[in-house]
Amino acid sequence: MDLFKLVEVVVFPGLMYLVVLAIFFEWYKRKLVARMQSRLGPTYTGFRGILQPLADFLKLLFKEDIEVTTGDQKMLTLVLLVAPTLFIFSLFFVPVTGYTIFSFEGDLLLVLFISSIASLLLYLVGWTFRSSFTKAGAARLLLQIVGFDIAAIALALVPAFEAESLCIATISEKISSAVISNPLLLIPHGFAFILFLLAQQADLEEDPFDIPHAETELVAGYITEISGRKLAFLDLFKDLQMVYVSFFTASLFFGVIVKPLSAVLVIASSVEMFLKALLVLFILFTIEAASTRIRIYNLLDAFWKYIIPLSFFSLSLLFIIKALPGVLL
Amino acid sequence: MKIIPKLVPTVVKTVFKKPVTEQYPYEPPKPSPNIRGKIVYDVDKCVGCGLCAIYCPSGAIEMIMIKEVKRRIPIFHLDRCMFCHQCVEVCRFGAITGSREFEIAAYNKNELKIITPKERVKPLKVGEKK
Repeated sequence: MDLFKLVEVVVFPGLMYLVVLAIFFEWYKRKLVARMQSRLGPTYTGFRGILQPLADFLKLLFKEDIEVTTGDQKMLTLVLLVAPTLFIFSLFFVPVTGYTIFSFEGDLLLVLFISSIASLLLYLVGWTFRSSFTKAGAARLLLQIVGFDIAAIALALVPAFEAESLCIATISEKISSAVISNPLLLIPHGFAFILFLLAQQADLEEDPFDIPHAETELVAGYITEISGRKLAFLDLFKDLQMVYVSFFTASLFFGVIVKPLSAVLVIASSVEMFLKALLVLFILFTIEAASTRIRIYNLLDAFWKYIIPLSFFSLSLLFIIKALPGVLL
Repeated sequence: MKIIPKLVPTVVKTVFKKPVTEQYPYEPPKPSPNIRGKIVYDVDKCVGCGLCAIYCPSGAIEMIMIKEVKRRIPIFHLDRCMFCHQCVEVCRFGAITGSREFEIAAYNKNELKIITPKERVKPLKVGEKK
């Protein structure tokens, strides 16, 4: 690996840029949801409280690490170190700045696989403790993962089939021209976009799908026993998940319009992707601010009875539209 | 679940409105127009009838005699006052009025007394029409 690639991985658009984005998105979430609920949100630290998530992170890092004796601490530490790196690794395949650091044909499946593994690691966080709150939260999380993951994978294949590629970089390049050349594709595309957002909302555990850490029932669900540095890393994990979800959805369904051919164009296309990610997050946070938590039965009903069949329906609709010119001619 | 799509336009509109939060110690307070705050006493209108002291439910008004001018005036102990404004209601001369000032916390009880200086108290002219 040459030095330039190393700088890309560590600094821009790799590790450091992604962590800064994660902290910014956390602020964006808090501020936006607060304004949607007519509150002020963070105001004190930095310009309009923009440094508040960083201050929280540093505060948690300096706190005492309280270990629960009944929990498997080695497992927990391993999980919390591995889980954030999984999202950073999968973001190397997503065009965060318009181009990807690594790319190969079929990396869409790898990224989907890694994100599922990361969600399953969260389940292990709850399962390492012998507490009823964490156990209940972890069990609910597992049920929820089974619900949304199949739908998310099926819906991620919709733009892949539209662009006729399984490489995220190629999909994000071709998706806009593919949809424009055949406007009928907009029907399954928009349909899949809405359903994919719902599945990602369940992945992020935001309202109305915040069932695994339902505050009024389970204290904090599977994160009840975690504190100090471990909680800091768990928060970082959730923020990186937010970055992953927003950029992954934006690159699959909106694509990259500005081609990153020179240094100036890289900045332009990274701004473009950033704005698209903010748009995706705006929709997700609007749903969060407008809704209340549903029960786990309703979630399973919603996903198994409606969203999974509808996602396969949109996939088959796409096949029909794609095959239509061949049949008619 | 059906209410979620109905709430979405409201939620999006609220983003562009001013938040309802008042950052009170950093911003000037906005008390309600009907708030019953600290009372204001005007010694020139007072005749020293003592009705306010009789009506005061918490005994916060003490009548004292000023021998030099031979008349009584009230002293208001705001630490006992519960801001019912009975004295404002009962004073037929308009000597006691209400204000909207509510930030009257103090470290010492003596700071919470409304005492009129002796020099301000003029002798009453008996039989004068107000």
